[in-house]
Amino acid sequence: MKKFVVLVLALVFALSCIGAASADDAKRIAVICDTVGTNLFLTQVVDMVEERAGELGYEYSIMECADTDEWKNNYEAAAHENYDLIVGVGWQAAEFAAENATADGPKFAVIDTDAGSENVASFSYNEEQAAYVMGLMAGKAFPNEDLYGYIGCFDGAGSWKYRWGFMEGVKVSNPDAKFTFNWTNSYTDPTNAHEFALQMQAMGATYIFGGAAACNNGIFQAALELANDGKYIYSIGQDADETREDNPYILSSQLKNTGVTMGIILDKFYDGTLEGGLTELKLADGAIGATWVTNDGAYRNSEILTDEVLDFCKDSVQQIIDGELVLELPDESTYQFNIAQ
Amino acid sequence: MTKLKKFGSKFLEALGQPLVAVLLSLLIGAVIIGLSGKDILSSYAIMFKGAFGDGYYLSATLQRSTAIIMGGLAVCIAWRSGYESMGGEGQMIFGALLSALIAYYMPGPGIAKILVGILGAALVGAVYSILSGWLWEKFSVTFIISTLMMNYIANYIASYLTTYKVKDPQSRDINSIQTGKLIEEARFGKVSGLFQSDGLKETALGQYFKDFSVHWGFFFAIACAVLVYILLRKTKFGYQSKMNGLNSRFALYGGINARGMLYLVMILSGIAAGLGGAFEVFGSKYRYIDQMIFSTGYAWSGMVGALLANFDPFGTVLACILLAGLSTGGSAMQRSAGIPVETVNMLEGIIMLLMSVKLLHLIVIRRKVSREDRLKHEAELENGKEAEAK
Repeated sequence: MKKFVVLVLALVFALSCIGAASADDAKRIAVICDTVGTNLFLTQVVDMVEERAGELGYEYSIMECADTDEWKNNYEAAAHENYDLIVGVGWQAAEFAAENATADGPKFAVIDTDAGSENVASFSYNEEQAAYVMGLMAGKAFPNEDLYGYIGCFDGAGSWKYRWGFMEGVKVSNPDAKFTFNWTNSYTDPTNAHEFALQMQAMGATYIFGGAAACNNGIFQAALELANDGKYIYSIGQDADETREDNPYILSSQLKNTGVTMGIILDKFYDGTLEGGLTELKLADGAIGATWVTNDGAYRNSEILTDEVLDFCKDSVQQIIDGELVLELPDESTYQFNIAQ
Repeated sequence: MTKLKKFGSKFLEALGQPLVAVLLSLLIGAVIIGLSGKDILSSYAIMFKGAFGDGYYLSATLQRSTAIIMGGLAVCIAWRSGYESMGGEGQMIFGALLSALIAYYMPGPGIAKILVGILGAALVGAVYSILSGWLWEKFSVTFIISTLMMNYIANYIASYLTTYKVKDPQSRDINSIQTGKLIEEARFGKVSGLFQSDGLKETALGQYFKDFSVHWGFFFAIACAVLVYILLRKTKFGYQSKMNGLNSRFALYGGINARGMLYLVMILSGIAAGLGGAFEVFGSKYRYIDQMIFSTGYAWSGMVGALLANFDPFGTVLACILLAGLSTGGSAMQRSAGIPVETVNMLEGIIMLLMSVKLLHLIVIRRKVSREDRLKHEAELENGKEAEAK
């Protein structure tokens, strides 16, 4: 017993002797987000931070939060541990950024939310524009379908701009289109999405909007499996380009380029122009878009995405950028849904 | 002297167990960290500093431990009496949600909001707990099934309400799933707040406590632990409930009102869990955020803490603080040593697992037993030989 106590005490002593590495003049940047894993929404940010560390010479830490309390804890710790720039990604960041930011302390920025504080630079996205383009593409490529599927992460107001944009886009080519919705209740669980995709195919859907972050992999897998049985479904990815040659059923991706946004934040931080307040990024800013319409991708399924389909989408994108086509998000409670029974 | 020695050995026995477990798991963790190519010692130094290193980090740990302690006390009360309720999570969720709603929507001064909110949390925790007791009594639904399912139900009800019905009306981001934020007066104060006055701020004491941001909820939790101790150790109810836990038939035979005991135990443990939710809202988050109790697993950590301490209220407090430190230290390690969050969670899991295996007990007892066994065996042999000789 004595030996154990001595050993423990020795260990505690040894640990307390080792200090943390001393900081030099390099800027220190913290990124606070949910667990990253394979979630493209977050990997884009992490990749950008890693990529530019060499050129700009900063130290950085990616603080992944497994639960709500860690969001709070990491934010307070980042403010306490003398970081120079603290960037939060996702809605949970808004609250804690606003609480910890001061006028003369470290710089704070949040991505994909609005902190509502003059000390926090907030960057949000006008997702309905990109979702509308995806809807246009789906409607134009599959104009004779009765039913269009939609698999998302969480039901509720947060997904409304996606759902509305997609439905309105489809209806341009197919005014009588019906829709069916399923929710994975997770950003990272592909098995649910896989099951939903099979069910939607059985209901008669050929096109399924993949709006479920990393869960979308389940839809893509289902498409490959169904193709073996001679049944075809087509889908799209989210956030970053997910088209690839070994899965021709991923037609496009609704781009939400959080990496570009991180780049904007880094540039502004080093220029000294990172100001508080909200910036809403639109199609015109290049931070949102659609693979093969606004950006090139890894693989194009030209049988489905014909030049005609793409030109049709590109025209509308131009109209949106020029302000000729204005998308006004209506209130969800007044909208007439056309849900499949 | 012997008394002191006895106390010392008891203390070592209580504390030795977690320490041996931590030590052993640190060794296993060292292999994992080494394999992932990070510096082992500095990673551990960061972990230790991030959990208990200075006033600031200690505060973060104590703050996290508050709800865990309350969850642990709920388990102490219920399990010691033989009712293996795992419903602390559901009760805590409703406690947190209701107290956040009361304090946000009820008009009146801050202190009234807090008091009514706490009362509401205790009430809703008790009611939800009674429900599983009733299911057990009327329909023989085992506690494990009913309480586990009711945790999910509570979490989804809370998710539904925060998504659609009571969402923060002032929210600027439609994605945020949370209730409205409490006003400044309707929150628990912090220890550091005591030393903010001009006279104290510059003193050594003021400087020391400036980062000590733990809220009053932690001290309420300690007070609750004292109350639970008195209740369990110094009252008739405590004795009866212990009897019931040891042997319910004997207790029944001895004239204990089993039905009354069941509901009283469920009510008390529900109150403890519900209060845990309220303390988390008033002290830390100032609103109900979707998944805030579920994703953090407070009630589960509390259960581990209570089991580790053999349902002793004070032991539970200590074990829960240690478990909270594991989390805060773990996130510091992820934050500062760049070890992936998955590895850190794995490490936390290993430590928890090893802590629950009563290693020290095993080692000491086995040695004792084997020695006693040997002596006994030898004696028997001797006796046998003697008998034979006769």
